[in-house]
Amino acid sequence: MIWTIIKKEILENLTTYRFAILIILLFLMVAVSIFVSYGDYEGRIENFNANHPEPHSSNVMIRPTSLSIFVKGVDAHMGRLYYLKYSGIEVQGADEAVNRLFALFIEPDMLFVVRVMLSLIALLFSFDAITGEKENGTLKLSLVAGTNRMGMLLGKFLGRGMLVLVPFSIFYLVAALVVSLLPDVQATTDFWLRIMFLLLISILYVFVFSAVGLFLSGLVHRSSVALGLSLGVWAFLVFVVPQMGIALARAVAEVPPSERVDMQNRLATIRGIYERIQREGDSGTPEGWKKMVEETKDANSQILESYGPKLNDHIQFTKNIIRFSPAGALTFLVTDVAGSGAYEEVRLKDYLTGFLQRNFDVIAQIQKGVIEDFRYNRAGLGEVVAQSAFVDLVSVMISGILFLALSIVVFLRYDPR
Amino acid sequence: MLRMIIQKELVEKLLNAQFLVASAISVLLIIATIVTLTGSYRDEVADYNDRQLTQEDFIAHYGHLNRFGWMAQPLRPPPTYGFLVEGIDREAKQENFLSNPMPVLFSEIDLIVIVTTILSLFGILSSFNAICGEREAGMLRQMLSTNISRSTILFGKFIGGSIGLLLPFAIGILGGLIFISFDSKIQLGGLDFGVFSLIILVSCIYLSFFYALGLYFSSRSQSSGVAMLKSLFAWVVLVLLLPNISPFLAARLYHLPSKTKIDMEAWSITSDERDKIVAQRTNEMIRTKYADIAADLWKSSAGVANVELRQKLDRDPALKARFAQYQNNWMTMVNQVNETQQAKSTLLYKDFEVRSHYQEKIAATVASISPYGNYVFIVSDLTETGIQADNHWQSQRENYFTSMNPILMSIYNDAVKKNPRFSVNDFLDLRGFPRFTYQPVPLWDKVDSSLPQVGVLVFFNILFLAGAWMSFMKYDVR
Repeated sequence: MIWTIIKKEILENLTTYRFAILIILLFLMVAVSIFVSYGDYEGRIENFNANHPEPHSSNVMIRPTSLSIFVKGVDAHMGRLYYLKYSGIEVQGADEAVNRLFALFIEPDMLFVVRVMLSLIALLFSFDAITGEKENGTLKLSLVAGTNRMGMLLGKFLGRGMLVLVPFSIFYLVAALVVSLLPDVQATTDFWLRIMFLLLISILYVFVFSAVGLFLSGLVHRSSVALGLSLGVWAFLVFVVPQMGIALARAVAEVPPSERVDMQNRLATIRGIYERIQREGDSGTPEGWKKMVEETKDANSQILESYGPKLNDHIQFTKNIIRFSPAGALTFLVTDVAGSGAYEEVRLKDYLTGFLQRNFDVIAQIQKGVIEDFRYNRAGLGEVVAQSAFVDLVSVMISGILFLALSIVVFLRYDPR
Repeated sequence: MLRMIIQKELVEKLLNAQFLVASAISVLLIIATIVTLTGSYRDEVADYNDRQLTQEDFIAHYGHLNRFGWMAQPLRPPPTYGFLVEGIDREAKQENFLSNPMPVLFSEIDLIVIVTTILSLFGILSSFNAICGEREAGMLRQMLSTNISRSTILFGKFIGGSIGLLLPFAIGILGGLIFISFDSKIQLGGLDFGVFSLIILVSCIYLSFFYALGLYFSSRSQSSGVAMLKSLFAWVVLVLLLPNISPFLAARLYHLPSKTKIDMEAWSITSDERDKIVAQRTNEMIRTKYADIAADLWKSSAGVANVELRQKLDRDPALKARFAQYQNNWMTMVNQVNETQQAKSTLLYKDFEVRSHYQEKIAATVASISPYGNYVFIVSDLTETGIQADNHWQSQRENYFTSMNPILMSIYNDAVKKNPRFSVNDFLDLRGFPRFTYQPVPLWDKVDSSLPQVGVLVFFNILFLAGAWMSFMKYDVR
């Protein structure tokens, strides 16, 4: 029964104007996204090739991940040059800061296509799944003919979802294949594994919004009302919750902005230098230098030890608010899986801090020696899922199950007359 | 007659439960956003004051010439209208190692997001069935059988619909401003209300464009479903696609080397290259002009005599004078090389800046094809959170450095005159040194820079309204 309904849903919609226009839109977005994102990635690779320091240097840089073509996240920021000094770690200004329009608009990468476009298309395919049939009078006929309500709903859910997913999967896989053949892309097994995982997450996300559409369709009796409601809910889940979440977290946060912490760090360093010069004069002694370095290190450590945990708590708090929206959870999930998310960023910072601590005496010129070679490996897929992505995956799944359950409840009580 | 149609449209909307719910949500959303952003704004002001105090602490206790520029940099106060618009978010630039990565993943909600995305979508939803919906309901035929002209119907629908759309926005803004007026830390003056009025006016033009867009597709479609799809397609392209790809497209069209590469080139010019030139010229100088004391000079390092040589110089006054002459000439040459290399480095940065601005201009032009881009530029300029304010800040900062450097040097030179052993690392009393005060962008400059973009928005309105009118004139009402 379910298969018959799935087939009916697909065949009924395949030749419609709606299918044509939405699939053209999807194709356009995927193509444009890959075109601009690859250009951006090429620029970052060029930057890396031209500027990455020699081994055993106190300046370090990590290579952009090829998956950032699909999900840029914070990869551009992670791929900057880090200067490791006795006074702390400084970062090179982002290239994006040069063209300030990057700060005014959103990154149109594949994450954007999935989070914004795919969810919209999924809703536009499902908002009239029940109301449309009711308006045409076919819902009454189907139910009279003995069609099971549950089977009908699941058939519609899967059928309408597949109308979006099949074309998207084709576009996505073709895009991945094309990208894998382009220069500077490291299409390893891990790359393909993560690409497939990202596809699975996208499929899950589409089903969440198909369920939202079905639920709203079962809640009202006219397609025009269902459409307005669907678009309102879409805007709320995709734009309002995540963006309001970040504003709310910032407004209630007790964590100072990084600029202020950076300034306190600088003052501690200057104080160390200044006091040493006052003690010993301009030339100084190795003992005086060592004392100054250690004092500066202690002062900076105190500032960081007070700020670091607060920042991590703030990040966690922000995530917890934003996870209420499937679009928010999807963003964390997808960026983490692609190795360009907040988890990887925090991990890299921890690694850099540890690296500086291990090589501190050599970097601070307290003792002679060679700085160890900087080798940073991004977190493996297993680690990412276990440490961070799992919560977001569960969050997206719960949203899907919740909306599907709600749509079953409303449809079982739906008046087909 | 036009008034009657406007009235009908407005009353119809105000009696529509869906419209009322959407309007109420919009009003609540705007007020909630202003309340939230006001909280962040208060924190930003406190942080700004705190950073100023840190600078004062440095000046009062550790002020010295050598590291003055590192610590006492001009600080930019939070934008006056930060409780309305986020604009270019400083945290999103990730300028420090410990920056919070969250603003990179999500931008904060603000007035721009609400108007450009949420209310524009509301505009499309209110208008896509304005013509074809009435046709489907059979109302259009009845209306046209009376003496009401097609133009009157269309313009009446446009004006009535646009007013309906603007109502929740204006109420929301008003509610937000009432909330702000109770905040003792935010003082608003007459000029600020002028800015709010301009924002409301521009928002009205922007939202009426989306109403015109919906009307256009409505009058080009026979069914509401088709009109809705066409309108949404246009909305996606204009709001989600075009503006967002603009900086990336510009970067592809006009390639720039990375900032890191420029920094490294500049570093190489003023260090490695400079050292090479100095070494080469020193060799030349010794070979051509000081061949007679070459053997002694090779023993010294950069013109500084070692112990053995110093004893020799003490014994031979003629050699000492010749050596001193060399030292003077060598210093002059090094200073010249430093100046030349510094000028080369400055030129490199200037060239990069010019090219960056060119890339930015291309991006802004592409973004201006969409009303979204124009609206973002206008409102971010009016609220001093955009590119114009950033340029204004950069130029004030540079002017401050240019005008303050001579004052700083004169304070230092005075200290040296009083104490010849005074060095750049000694405490310098800079408590009386003029502090940086940020001057906001004058209102007229904001208006002046926004005028072309307002013109583009009005043009878009006229274009789609004319399109809707032409289509409606030929529209088959049966």
